[in-house]
Amino acid sequence: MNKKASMDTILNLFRLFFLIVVFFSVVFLARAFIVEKIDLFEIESKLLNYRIAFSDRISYVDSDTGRKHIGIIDLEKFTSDDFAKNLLNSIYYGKINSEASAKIVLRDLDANQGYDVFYEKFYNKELYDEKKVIVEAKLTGAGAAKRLDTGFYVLIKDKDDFRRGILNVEAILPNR
Amino acid sequence: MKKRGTITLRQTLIHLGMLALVAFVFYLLTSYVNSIRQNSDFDMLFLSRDLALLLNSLYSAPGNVEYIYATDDTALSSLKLEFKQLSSSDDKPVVRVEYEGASRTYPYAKPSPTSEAFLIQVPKSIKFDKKDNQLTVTKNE
Repeated sequence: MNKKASMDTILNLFRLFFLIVVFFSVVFLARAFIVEKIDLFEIESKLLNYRIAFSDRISYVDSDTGRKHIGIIDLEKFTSDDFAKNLLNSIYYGKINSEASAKIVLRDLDANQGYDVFYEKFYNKELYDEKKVIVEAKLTGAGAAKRLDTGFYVLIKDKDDFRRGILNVEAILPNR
Repeated sequence: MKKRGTITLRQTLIHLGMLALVAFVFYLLTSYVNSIRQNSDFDMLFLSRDLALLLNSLYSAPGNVEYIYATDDTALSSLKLEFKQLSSSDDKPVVRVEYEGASRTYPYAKPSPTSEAFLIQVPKSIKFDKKDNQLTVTKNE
């Protein structure tokens, strides 16, 4: 093979390489314009927070009329041992819930104890503890999770006594 | 001695090969774009999420709710929709949207562990009826 022929071969290889680059660029550009993900995190986590806050497992329910009083937290329900189990069953994502978790903090503003009185509960604590670490590490992508806080001014019903309070629900949802 | 400006057979074959390659790449690109155009994946993705979100919203609502879900006829009526627990083993409630063998699922939360399953095929619109925390999903035609 003479020198010109070998130069032609090199040139053709270069052309082929360039063609492949163009082909993949077009594919990449086409894919960049295709929507493959719809991120529902914000609306979904807000919905979960409201669903927890307005749940009959938290709210005071009038035993005579059956009416649920949204925004009035029944302290007896909130502090009961079955609270987490009841809440998990009322927002039921399956036996193994790998879809949603939340921390629920009820702060009593009128406790008059000289210090902050608050009650802390969880919805799906296992997943919350697992994903909280990832959220704090600010990891992104598949397997990671995001957090959204929502605060509600509420009344706390403690037997016949009503006090002011703040219910803070912090949802952590894994990326989907 | 070869004359300057004449093309050898080898060079002609190389040029023809290059033309064939360009034509092949062009064919690949057009077929790729066509496959995207006919792709129903986004419809399934959107509907599974939208319906799961709707179910979560309905279950979040404190009272009884009746809701008609309607999109333009072609989007829904070509699909098979299932609202069910994905499998008995993990008991996970999902919305499953199926089209020509391919499917997309998205989870939603029920108000209790009791089982529920609805299968709706090629609907024009869907009726969701929630009474006393019990949901019924039917075709609305």
